Amino acid sequence: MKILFNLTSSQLNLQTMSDLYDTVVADLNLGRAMPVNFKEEDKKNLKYMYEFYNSLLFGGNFARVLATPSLRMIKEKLTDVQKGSNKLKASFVFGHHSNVLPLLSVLDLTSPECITQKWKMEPITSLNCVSPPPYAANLIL
Amino acid sequence: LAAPKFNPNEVEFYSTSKLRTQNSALSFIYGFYPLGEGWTIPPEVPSDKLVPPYTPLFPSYLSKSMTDSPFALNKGFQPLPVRPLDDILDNCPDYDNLLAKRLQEVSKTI
Repeated sequence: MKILFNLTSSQLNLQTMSDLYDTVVADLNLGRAMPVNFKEEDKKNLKYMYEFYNSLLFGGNFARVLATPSLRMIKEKLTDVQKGSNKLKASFVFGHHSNVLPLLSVLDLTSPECITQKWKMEPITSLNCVSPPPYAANLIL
Repeated sequence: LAAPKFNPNEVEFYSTSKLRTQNSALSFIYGFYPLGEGWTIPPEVPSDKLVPPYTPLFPSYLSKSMTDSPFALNKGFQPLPVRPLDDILDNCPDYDNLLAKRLQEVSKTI
């Protein structure tokens, strides 16, 4: 990967590789050429680093802090509908992966551990293991 | 799910202030409420009330569809409100510190 993308030693970290995956996906979608020796396996590995890093970063107590306002908003809306004071059929909320990932984490829909199991093609021990949100992902509650 | 004509008591939209999420919201809305479903002008409204109450600077820009169409806006377009999300989501005053702390935790874990 270091030679393929001409990376320096200081760039060999999960954050950079995660950003690199973003760029690779964008370039592939735009039909741009990949490095000559870039293989499907390299893409799979980059994807794993992106998913692992993001599910780890937006996990733990940090995810709880980030997800609390969204969950509070959802709870208030659902409570109002239950009381009959809100007749809304749908609320559409548009945000970033940094808004969706903490929700996936606190709802126990994903984790760095299960992402690793998936990458290693081992049996997944958790009930749910969704990937961090790709482009145009949606979460329906 | 929802009526073809937007009803604010039925559906609502929120977005963060970033341009790309606003673009996502607007793109979704244009698909959810396509052209041709917008508000129409009541037939009793006199046609002279459909043009600006002054001499337009560029009269050629007043297209025929703007005065002859039954719709209030061109092609039945529905301009819908997208509510700001930032006040609701960005209420953690310690976000930057927490992010730095989490990055440190993550570095130790890896």
